[in-house]
Amino acid sequence: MMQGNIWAILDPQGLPESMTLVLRFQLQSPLTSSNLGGSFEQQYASPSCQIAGLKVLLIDDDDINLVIARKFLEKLGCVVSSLPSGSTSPNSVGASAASCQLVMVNLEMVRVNAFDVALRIRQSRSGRWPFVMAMTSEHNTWEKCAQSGINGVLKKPVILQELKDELVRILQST
Amino acid sequence: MAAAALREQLNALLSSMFSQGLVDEQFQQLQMLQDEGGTPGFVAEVVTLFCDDAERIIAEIATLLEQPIVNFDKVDAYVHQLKGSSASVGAQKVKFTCMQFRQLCQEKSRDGCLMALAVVRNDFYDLRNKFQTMLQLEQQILAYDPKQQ
Repeated sequence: MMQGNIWAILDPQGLPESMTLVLRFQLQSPLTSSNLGGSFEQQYASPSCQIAGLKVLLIDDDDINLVIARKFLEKLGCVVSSLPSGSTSPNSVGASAASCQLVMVNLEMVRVNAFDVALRIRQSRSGRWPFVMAMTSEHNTWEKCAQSGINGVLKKPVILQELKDELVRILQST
Repeated sequence: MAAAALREQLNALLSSMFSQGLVDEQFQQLQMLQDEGGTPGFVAEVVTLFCDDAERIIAEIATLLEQPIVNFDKVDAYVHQLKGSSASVGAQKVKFTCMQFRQLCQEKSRDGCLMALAVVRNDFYDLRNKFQTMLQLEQQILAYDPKQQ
């Protein structure tokens, strides 16, 4: 009736660790900054502070994407590290991810299943961090992303403003 | 004043690249990031990566199209990759040409794909030449005044 879906993510013991509910809503046209007027800057002042200094791990096998994403993140004040390509074994991902607050992962990597990586990160984390954000050129991946514990999705090519907006949304959402 | 003349040349080149639709706002964004952040070499790095990538992909596609039986899915995957990189860099014309190429892959026509490959190659070489000129001009300008970014 509500066109939705609900599932649980199980921890290693098979007990439900979290539940997720997905509902489909009709999107209103987004408010643009010109509509919000003077209050816009105040609304966005504090989340920008949250972004500055954020520790981000980039997982991508596409050199061009990596260079550009890193540049954008550094522009926003983040501290960026990336995994050397080929080292996405469970141990190295878990260790690197544990020390950062956001992991950005390319869904279209050739030798690596990004959803597996996201699930591993999700299972090995304790507490709020890290968030996981996916980058993809496909449409309609939201549900599949949410099922893997991914907190946000960015369309490729990555655009600076969209990256910032999605970061703000994720950071505000808990 | 030679630096000023070089700057004019560079601006004219960039202007024409934008007005001819060779590059779009994404490329402009990358340039702005370089200028604002005082990190010369960022655009050069991205552009060089893109050109190397595109060269490699075009060669792979050419090889695939020479096979007695063409694997159109593989060709399509490569074209998709090239479309992605050109979009990331802001190489608008190449991106659009790739989109048309993908249509022809769907039709599974070797001749159609060969024609599309020729167009992509042409558009890419044209863009690469302009990128190379742009980078040379930037180097020359920097040589005159290293403080200018």
